[in-house]
Amino acid sequence: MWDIAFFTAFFAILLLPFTPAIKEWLLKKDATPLWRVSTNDEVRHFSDRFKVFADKELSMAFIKDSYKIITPDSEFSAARSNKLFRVIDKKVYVPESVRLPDNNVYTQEIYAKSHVEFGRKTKIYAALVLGNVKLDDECIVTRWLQANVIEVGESCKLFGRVSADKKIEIKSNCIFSRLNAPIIEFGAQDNIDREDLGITQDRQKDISHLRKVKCELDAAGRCIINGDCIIPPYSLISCDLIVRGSLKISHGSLILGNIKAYKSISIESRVTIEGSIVSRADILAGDWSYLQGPVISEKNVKLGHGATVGSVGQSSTITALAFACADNVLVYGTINVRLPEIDTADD
Amino acid sequence: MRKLINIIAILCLVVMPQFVMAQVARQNDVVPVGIITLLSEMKDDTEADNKADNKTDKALTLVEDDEDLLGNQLDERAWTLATIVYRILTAILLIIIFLMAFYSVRHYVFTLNRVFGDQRYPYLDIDSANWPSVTVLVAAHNEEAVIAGALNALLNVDYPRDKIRIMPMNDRSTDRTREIIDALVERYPGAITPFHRSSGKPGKAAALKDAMKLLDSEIIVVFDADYLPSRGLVKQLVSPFFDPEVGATMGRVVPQNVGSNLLTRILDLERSGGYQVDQQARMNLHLVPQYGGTVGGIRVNALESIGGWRDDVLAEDTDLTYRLLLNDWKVVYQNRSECYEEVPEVWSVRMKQIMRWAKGHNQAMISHTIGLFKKQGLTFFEKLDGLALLGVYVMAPLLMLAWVISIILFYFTPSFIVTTFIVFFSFVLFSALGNFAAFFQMAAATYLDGSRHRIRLLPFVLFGFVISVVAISQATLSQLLDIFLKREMKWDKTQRYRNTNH
Amino acid sequence: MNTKNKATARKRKELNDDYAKSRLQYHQHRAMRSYKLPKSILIEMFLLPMLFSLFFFGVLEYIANGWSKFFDFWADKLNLPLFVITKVYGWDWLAVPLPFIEIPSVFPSLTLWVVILMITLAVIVLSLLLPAKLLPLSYLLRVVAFIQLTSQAFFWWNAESYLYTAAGQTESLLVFTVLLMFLVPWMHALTYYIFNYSRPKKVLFTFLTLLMLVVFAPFHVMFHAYFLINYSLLMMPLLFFLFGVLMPIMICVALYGWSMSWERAT
Repeated sequence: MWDIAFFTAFFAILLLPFTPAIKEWLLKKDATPLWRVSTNDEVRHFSDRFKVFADKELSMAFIKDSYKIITPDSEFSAARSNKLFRVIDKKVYVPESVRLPDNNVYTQEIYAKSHVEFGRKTKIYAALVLGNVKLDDECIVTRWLQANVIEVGESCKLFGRVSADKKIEIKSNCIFSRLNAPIIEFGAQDNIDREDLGITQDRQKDISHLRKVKCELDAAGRCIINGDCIIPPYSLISCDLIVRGSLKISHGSLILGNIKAYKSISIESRVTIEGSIVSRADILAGDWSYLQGPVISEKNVKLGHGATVGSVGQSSTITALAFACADNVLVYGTINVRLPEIDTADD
Repeated sequence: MRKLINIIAILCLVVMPQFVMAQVARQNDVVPVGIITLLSEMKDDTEADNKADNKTDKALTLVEDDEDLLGNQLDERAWTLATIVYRILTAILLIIIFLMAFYSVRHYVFTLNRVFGDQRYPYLDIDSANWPSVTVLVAAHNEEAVIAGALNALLNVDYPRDKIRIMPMNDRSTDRTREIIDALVERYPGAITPFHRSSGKPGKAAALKDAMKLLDSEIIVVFDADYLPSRGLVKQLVSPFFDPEVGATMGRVVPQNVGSNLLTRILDLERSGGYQVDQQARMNLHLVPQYGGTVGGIRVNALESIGGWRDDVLAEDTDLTYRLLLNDWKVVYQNRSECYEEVPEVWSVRMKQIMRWAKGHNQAMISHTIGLFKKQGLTFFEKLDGLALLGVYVMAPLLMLAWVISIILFYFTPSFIVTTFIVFFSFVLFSALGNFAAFFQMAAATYLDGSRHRIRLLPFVLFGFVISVVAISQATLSQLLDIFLKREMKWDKTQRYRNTNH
Repeated sequence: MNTKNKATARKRKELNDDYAKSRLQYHQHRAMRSYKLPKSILIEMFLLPMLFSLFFFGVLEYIANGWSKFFDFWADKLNLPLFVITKVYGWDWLAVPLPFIEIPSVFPSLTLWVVILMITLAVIVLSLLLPAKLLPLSYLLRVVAFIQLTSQAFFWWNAESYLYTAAGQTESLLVFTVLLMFLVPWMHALTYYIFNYSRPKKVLFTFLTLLMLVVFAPFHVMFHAYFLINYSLLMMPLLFFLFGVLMPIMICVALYGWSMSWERAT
């Protein structure tokens, strides 16, 4: 009898810690496949979705009331604003061009059919503007912004996805995480035509002044270099180049293939790279350099004055931990960064 | 500097077990200091017991009565032989413990890196670019249950239309696979280029080899017919190829039929640990992520430069990973590129699957270990990880061997019994605790996935381990017989479970 | 200059935090998720196990007393010929008293040997008859049978040279379980405290595990003693290899799986 009692107690105690496991096995509380993540990585995903949603809502009269409608004559426009800090807690619908006052906070989406100018220090949750947008200095976008042309003032913070159908112009001291437009302009633009300087992707251009660098190629036609590498000025390299160290490409060189370096890539002025540029560390591009890209850095990307990434016919991407550039930089395509600015403490 | 590290590592790998063995040979010295008191007491007690019970401990008697044996040459030789055998077995046991410790530490370091380290996904955000041309190959051998789902999902992916070609690779199916593919080709003209294969060597690698002749794209992406790719998946898998060093990419495989039974739930935990933690940590640490055969892309140029597909190997994925590595190509793992697949629902099918993997993996180990040792241009840790990955399926038969040795030592130890007891107690303890690193890896993976209750099934993973150890050991044995009897290897197809009513 | 640097660093940190928060919505996909290991957790990882070890060390004497009484009680009820001695393990001030059960080493009779062999063969047959969905169980049974068969063979061939005593087996089991108990808080530090669970949950988890082991240990020892006395030393290899220290470890694993499913701190 006592034997049975002992073994019952023994097995009960032994099984006790396994109860949650047995329970989960039988009840299947968490037995579905990992959920499919619905968020889409396409830059315009949210704005496109919002447009469909907003058009539908605005066509229904009774839901229309959930929108704050702002016209040039309404009290929320800059023309009639008393410039006080104000929080607009509703979705906003802007049917015609308007300038909005400074210091306002929009906690929900804005849908504008025409051009919109946001005053200084405006905080925007998300905005879909079918016309052009002008953000005055120190504005903040927290989720997304989509417009035809976006003009960004100084010291703005563009968190989330910012995309334009035609162009994004960014003044100095701004931070951002994801930009996408056919043309993204940084800083004041010189009125110098890049084509006059020979800085566009032009396969017909004269390369007679360049010296072709002889590379030892592997079976796949790549040149692999163990250690650091310096490419002399005015060199022409037509293969893919992999450097297991740092890479310096001197002034005026032309690289027709893709390049990769385990350490930093330093590109001097007037260098053209027609392939992708990949580095586990920094990528520093000099003045008037041209990079077709994509430019992929696991640390920072810095572009010098007049540098270009991508081209009119073929957009490109810069993806890096952080990004910085001088004035007159043009990027055709997308910029993705993970930190707001380059940490100079590492330098 | 690198050479110095290499020398130190080799010393650690080769000399350390020798050192430990030597320590064991000195018998008492191997026991941790803290337990010495306990041991001496135990020894005293044992001696006391011997006297009290009049029960003779042969081993102790042998040691104590050494002088009596001196005169007896035969006994002395037997004693020496027994001691040598004992030392050899103990050394093997300790080497296996050392290897297991190495794998445990590796698991632990990987898990910590994945949970707290910097995550590497440098290619993921590429959005606008001159995308290379891609052919998506869908391997299909009697896949009527799933092929339509896979092709429909592929028709909807986000990739420039003029750059993508979908090619279902119907390898001599005897069911309705061909019919279903042809119906889809007719329904979406120009979008699908079917490849019906009716002759040639069987097997996925052979089918891929034949399909390659029909391709003109820069990249191929290979899916199994049971995969359901998401819209952004092809772009994600192709984006790393902008890096000229990347030869192949690999995405995360997520089990689709988790809820079916205990086996699928255990496999769900194992896959989570393997991909979410292990593969991503190897990516983070610049080690050797493994190309898994499906949910992955390959650069055609790279494939051609390493001699194309090999249809004489059982695990073309592992083989390819190493051939790429040995030819200066990297494999990139993209944790974000998730694809849902079916996992085996029956233990026997699971066993066959592991046996195939084990044989293929071992084959790769035989082919590539020396090459990996000699390879220039790889870091020390890349080599170490590469070797660890190659040796991962050898650990199961070694574990079995260790159990057998410990059982032998348990009965036939000719030396100081308590030391021996400690040695295989440490083995028993370690073979249980060592697995804890694998348990930890799975727990961390579900933590990162945001799952909760499924991790409660952790103790049941032991069943999976038992099956794995048995299957891998069987496979290794059968492989040795294959070599000995010159038998040809077979391609076992993994059974599908999805409803045919698509 | 230093103050200015600090201010800049603080400003940068605030900016980075804002920025990181804003990116959460896009990049906190499970594939990219990772966590920070703050200093507080590192301190916790050291202090909590230390406190648990000290606590356990402090109460071990009382636990050992409890175990002694437990052994006495069940020895009486199960009619087992054993008596309990308290032995001191360790050094002077670091000494811990543990109850040790003195049990006779019973050698198997021929009848017992045959009966156990029959049962072992029955287990093998059972493992072959089990349905395919219980395949892991079949293999486990075969492992059990294999170890038992080695024991049967050894005792048939050379029982006199068997090296171990039953008392030694139960004693070492208890000693190793106690060592495991000292190890548990440190294992938890490395595998559980690092995650974002509230401190009470961390303490509770370790406490529950220790409690479970404290309760299980004497049962486990008695379980071994019962088999060793009633079914002789013939059972010892099986008890040692499969039903020894592996059992408390599996308990730890089961509790670990459970605790990892608890709600996480925000």
